[in-house]
Amino acid sequence: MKSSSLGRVILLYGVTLLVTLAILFPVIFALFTSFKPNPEIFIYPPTFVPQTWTIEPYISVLSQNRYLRYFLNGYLISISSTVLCLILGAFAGYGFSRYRLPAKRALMLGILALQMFPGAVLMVPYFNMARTLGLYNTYIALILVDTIFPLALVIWLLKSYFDSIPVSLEEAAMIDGCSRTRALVSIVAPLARAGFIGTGVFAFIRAWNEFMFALILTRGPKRAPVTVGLAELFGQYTINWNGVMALTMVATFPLLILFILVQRYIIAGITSGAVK
Amino acid sequence: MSKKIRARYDLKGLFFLAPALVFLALSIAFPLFRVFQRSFQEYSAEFRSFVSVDFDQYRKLFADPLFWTSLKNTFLFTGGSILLHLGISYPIALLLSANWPSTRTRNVFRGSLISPFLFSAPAAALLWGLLFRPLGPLNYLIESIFGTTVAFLGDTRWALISVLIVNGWKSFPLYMVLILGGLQSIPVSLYDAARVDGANWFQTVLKVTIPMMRTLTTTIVLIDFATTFIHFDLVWTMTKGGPMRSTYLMSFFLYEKGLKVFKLGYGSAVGVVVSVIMTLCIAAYLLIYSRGEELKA
Repeated sequence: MKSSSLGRVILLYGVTLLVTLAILFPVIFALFTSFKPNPEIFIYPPTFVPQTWTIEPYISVLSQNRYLRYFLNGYLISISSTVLCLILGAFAGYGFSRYRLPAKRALMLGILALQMFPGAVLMVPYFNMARTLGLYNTYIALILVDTIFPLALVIWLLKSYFDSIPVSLEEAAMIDGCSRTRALVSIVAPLARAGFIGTGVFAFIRAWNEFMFALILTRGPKRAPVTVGLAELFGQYTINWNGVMALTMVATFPLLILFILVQRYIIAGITSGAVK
Repeated sequence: MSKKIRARYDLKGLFFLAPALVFLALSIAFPLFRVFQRSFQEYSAEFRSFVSVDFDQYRKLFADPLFWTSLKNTFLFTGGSILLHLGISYPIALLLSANWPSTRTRNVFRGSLISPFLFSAPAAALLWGLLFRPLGPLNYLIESIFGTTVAFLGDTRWALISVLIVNGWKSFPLYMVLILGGLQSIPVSLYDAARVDGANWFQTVLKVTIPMMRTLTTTIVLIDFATTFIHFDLVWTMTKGGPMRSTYLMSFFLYEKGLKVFKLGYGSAVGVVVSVIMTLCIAAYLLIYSRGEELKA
């Protein structure tokens, strides 16, 4: 491509910066709003940067048991489902990677197709299943749901990680009397650590942000995750916008940290296989 | 694939697959089958169970104006989302795939541009709810330019457009990353050849980039279609289908019939219609996907 002349570089930086600021505007505006005292939010024309800075919205939100409960639920559900998803995905991914199986391609494509289906079509059956099995308004129901949806992607990603690890290592171990499962746990899994981190973060984000099934499978804040708490606030007549924005920021913050730490794995995750 | 040493089938591998496959079969395939089955039934209080009603649910469904409203809105929402996602993602991906003097700086931009993807649907709804307020920043901007205000989510003419904007904003990063990956996999030699032939930037995009990206773009359209067609959470949080059903989607129809008024048979018929449309789309996706793999092999 063209050699980078100074003018071209300035243009590239300038345009990209403008686009980025435009895309991030809702986030920046919300962040500033979360630091404004309540009366300032109702000033017209609206202020952008707070005239007076305050952390009172954060304190008031984080001192309410109701919201802390949502966070506790969210962590419990998301971490459990991520772990479950990685265990199921690791075994299946390993099976797909290391064994010659009949109709393997059809199976893998079938999984891919199945995971595109769910969503709204499964609302009614899941609600009924949860009622029948006594799982309505329990952690287990939400953990299971959050395991189902990222699972196909996790299997595909872990398979491709396992594919890149030489079989000879396990074979050497197995000659020394190590079992297959043992080889997976103590040889392959540690080598595929990057794969586990990347896919794990992906599964965690999906679970943390899941809303629809949390809405229909829970009642009240006892078992519901953060998304349900946030959705309740939308459309209330008297919204404390600063508190709501503080809550939104706190709810998204863990994902931001995870994202910054493992950005490249997530991008690899999105790109490989072109699955959602 | 080339790493395989064993030439014959090794069925022991099924033990590794079994937990995940059984889990997926029970949690997706089985419920889908139940939906299909229920759509030919109706709950009878007399028999205290479901009885067969042939195609009655479907006849009722196709005569229901609300069904056609939801179908129309769903197609408008899906089509609009796809256009918006491509319209936002392509220019940004082209910018990011330009020849950056510092990859680090580019990655910082890329990371920032992906961040809308991290917000959950309710969180995104709240961020934009703040912007859409009657006395909010967007209305301030509109008033100072056009001298009037817009009731974004409260106006039947604007509600669908407003939720489209939010959905465009929230989901474009996924497609941007896919497009970026595609752009970066176009061989540099093609661009060099175009330059030697004296093509300008515009001609290069038209004759090299766009043809090379055709398959990926089709894939993205199909993935986006499959995702958006059963969309629920963002629009539900923001409008619940209102005002005057102007943002009422198929998934809301499913939700209300199945979970609010408990017409399970009726709700299932909607589920089947949605699934059939989805199946066509997914089949097309798989076809393109496996053909692409053949080409690579």
